[in-house]
Amino acid sequence: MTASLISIDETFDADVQDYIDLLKPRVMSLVVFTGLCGLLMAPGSIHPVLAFSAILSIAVGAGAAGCLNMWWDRDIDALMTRTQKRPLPAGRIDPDSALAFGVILSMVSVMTMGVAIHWLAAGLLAITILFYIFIYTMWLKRWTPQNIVIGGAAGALPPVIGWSAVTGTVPLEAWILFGIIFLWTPPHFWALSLYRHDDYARAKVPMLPVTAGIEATKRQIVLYTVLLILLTLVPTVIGMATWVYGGFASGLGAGFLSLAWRVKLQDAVQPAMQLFAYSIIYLFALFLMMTLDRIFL
Amino acid sequence: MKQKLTPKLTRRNKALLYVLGGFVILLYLISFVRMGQW
Repeated sequence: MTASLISIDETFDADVQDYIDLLKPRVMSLVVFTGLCGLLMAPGSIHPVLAFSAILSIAVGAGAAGCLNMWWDRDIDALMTRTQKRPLPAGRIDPDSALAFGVILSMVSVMTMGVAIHWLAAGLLAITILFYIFIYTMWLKRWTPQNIVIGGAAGALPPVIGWSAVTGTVPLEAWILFGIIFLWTPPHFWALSLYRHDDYARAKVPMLPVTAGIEATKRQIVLYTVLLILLTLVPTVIGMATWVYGGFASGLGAGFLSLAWRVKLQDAVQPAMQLFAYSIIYLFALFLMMTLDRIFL
Repeated sequence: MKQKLTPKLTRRNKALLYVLGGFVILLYLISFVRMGQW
């Protein structure tokens, strides 16, 4: 009797690590980094405790959104080799616990942002979470091949939130940062979906390679890459960053485009995997350079 | 024979306590800053 009472909540055998995995830590790291860059690039100053609270709120909010995304997608995650070891499809956490975890963390992150910073930043964070869950996860993802294009808006908002935390406004510069991540998202995810094509097809997720074919996807990757590179040069043109950043952005962009072009020309999966890996380093490096440029030059 | 009824704190609950403790401290710090005392 006693033994069964004690083990009642151990049925799913969830460890701390499983709850950390629910927060999609690798996605969170990119979100935190771009949010921090937005905060550092904004003119003006912010108390370190408040800056920390803002970044923490963004991190927890992004994690909560990731958690709720996994809660909703647990059926298709079980069908894809890339995702079937996640805590929910693997049966280590029960769905209700994950739902509660995600909802509570979402509310805590928005409230903390509102109390520590202001309700503009909190509102933007709430929109980010709600957009990711209701628009992207529940509506677009299983319905249209434009899922990640439109859904990318959620992932692109963190630097805008970071910027607004300092200034209390959302000027053009912040929206340029938004636009860079927005245009970066399609080539990033389509590169992944090129070599995870079978996974998405099995789960019936209408990713572009599944619905429009491999060749059309490759053309779209090149198109978005060109648009992305052009937008990354705008900060230099409008005086938001110096030519030093402009030089780095051009070099990084040339690397991105040459890889995208290799993806287009070759049938092997290798270039697509390389493009996916490069795109992550690219975004980190680009934001790092722009931030250093604005702080020191 | 006497049986121990309360289980030892699990790793998960211990982590939860640390997180909640840290959050309370953060709220204190935020309130100090917002009140202009720091």
